[in-house]
Amino acid sequence: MFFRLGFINITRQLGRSSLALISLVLAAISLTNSLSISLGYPAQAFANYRDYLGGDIIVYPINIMGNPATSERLELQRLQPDPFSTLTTLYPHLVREGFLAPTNSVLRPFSNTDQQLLLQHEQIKKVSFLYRMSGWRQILGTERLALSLRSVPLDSGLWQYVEEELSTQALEDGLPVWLNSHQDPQRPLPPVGSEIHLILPRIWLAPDGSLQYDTGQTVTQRAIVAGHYALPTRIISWPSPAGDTFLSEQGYFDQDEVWLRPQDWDYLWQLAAPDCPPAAGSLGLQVQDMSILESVVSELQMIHPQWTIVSVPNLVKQIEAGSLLDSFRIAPAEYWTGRQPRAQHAFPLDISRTLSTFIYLIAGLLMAARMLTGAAARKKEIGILKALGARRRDILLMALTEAVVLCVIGSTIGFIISYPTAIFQQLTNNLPWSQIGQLMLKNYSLILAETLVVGVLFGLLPAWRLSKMTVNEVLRA
Amino acid sequence: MSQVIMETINLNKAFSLGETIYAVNNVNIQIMAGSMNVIVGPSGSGKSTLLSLLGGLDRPMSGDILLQGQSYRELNEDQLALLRRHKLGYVFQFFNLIPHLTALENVMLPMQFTNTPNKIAKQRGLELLERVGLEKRSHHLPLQLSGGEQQRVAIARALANRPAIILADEPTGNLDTKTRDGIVALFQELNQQEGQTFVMVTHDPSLSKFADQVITMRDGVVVYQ
Repeated sequence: MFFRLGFINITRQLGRSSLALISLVLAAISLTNSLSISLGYPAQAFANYRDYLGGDIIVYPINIMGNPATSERLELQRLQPDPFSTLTTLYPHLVREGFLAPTNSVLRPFSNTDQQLLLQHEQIKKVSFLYRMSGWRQILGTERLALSLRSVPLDSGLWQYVEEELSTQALEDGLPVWLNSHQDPQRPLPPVGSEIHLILPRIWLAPDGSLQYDTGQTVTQRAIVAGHYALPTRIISWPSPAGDTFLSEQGYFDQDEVWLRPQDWDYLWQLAAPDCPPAAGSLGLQVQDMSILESVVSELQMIHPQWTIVSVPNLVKQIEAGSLLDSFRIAPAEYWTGRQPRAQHAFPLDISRTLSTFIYLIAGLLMAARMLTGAAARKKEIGILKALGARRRDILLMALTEAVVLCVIGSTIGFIISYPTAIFQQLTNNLPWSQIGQLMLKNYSLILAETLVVGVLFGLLPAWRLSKMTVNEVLRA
Repeated sequence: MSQVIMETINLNKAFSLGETIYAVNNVNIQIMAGSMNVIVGPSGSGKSTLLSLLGGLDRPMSGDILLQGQSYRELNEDQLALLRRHKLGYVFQFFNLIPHLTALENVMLPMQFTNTPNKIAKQRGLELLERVGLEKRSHHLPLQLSGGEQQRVAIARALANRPAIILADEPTGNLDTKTRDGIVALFQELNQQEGQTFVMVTHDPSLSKFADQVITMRDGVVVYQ
């Protein structure tokens, strides 16, 4: 009876329940998002991205990325003309399809003055120039392959992903380059020690200080493959052959990229752009305190509207949300035998969890308010029920029913609204449907459980208090 | 009407408002089965407090109440709730209907507390609404009913579980004259035709007219019985 009464209370008093219900839905959406964004993104993957992108915060010229303050999604057409974009290296399939191939374009590089400006912020401890350039790789007798060249500082953690390397003596035979070992049979990888040719567009310094990128003229440089590297990205899973469990493997960037040491970069840059010093297409900023990363980004963006400033975690999330997913492969096990695990980086505080906690708190307070406010009416109702013979446990059962029904409805609606994004991410991670189903059940259970804990706790507490009072006390309260 | 159905023994209830004020002071009354009992007295004389104690809505400071021989003092809160559920009906001055339940659902509520099958509860609910002249208003919400109609629903609800006693606190106090006469007539009919025992707090002389017992209170004390 009291179960039914609780249900009737909700259905017939939608006005009173709606605020609590909406807040529960929002909380569930927020939690679902925070869970699904982290799917496939363990701290290690974030750390890898951060190292790869050169800092905790990346600063781009505004014409490259668009302004995140006005644009939620990255747009392909804004990326097309940019030969220096990080996306060139992150999304080699777009390069192969011609979207990000080097074109004649203009880039206003970052200067030392820009570096000094950014260093003035108290939270910025280091500003690095990030050097990238697009070009082609040509193995004698084969076709050109578009690739991205990148200068990788020797103190960067990325170098530990180099697996095969020539001796110092051998390096003196030519310009050493390190190739990403993407393991794609369609793009055979030159073995270590082999000779390749790098073909670079000419870069001109215009009178206004911008760089003109001209693919009509090229320079060619002979190089030696000094090593292969494989850069970890997300973890992917698949069912075991027996179908009784799931196997996991670290995924690796699948891209045509070449790493160069900084001193070699300077040499190569002088070949392509003899009239101008090495120019950085973006800046990587290291912050003092990762827990306030997003607020530092917001502050910097306000101070420097001429640039696009984005945190690495958000850049990664934007990329995911924009469906601009990098493809990647599973490296063969023997490739990584004996490899030492790298040190764990500090993980930036993901505010979506904090946000969902706050929303849950608000939802809980609204649940409590729902019991207490509309206050006179609610207390009177409980007083009447007690006068008619409802026991304490009956009142609690009614309140429990109301809380559970609201929580189930709220968390289910929130989950249904936001989880399709997660399913999309999982599909692009090549997860099988069976595992997607398992994950969905697991996540829904988690969200439902968290919602129930909050809802039941806050919904029952006021009822508990009222149920302890005598009828007259409740009716007078 | 020869049997005592309820009695109080040295009943006391005091409130502490700077000094201790006895709202009910050593009250000893007896209620006979099938009788109409009216408690009268000036405002603040302790009538409503006494009725709350009789209805188990509040606890006395000392003394006891016996309903069909069952001592209230021996009952914990849950047992007292069950006693209210099975043996008492309560009619409030301001009706106290659940606003989002229809008239019929309000009447059925006490029966559902006692796990009466829904079909039977609904049938009896309709009968009771017919008894109080509201059979055509059974699916209306309280807000869609007049004050007199709401009080009739409250009376029907109080009768639902065939209680030993119906306690009514100023049942006509919030009604106009015409509606009040109707309610008084209904009480009289229920008492005289069906032998329902009533204890009412009222200022209404028309209710006192047909009372078997008029209990007059002043300053928490029964001054005339």
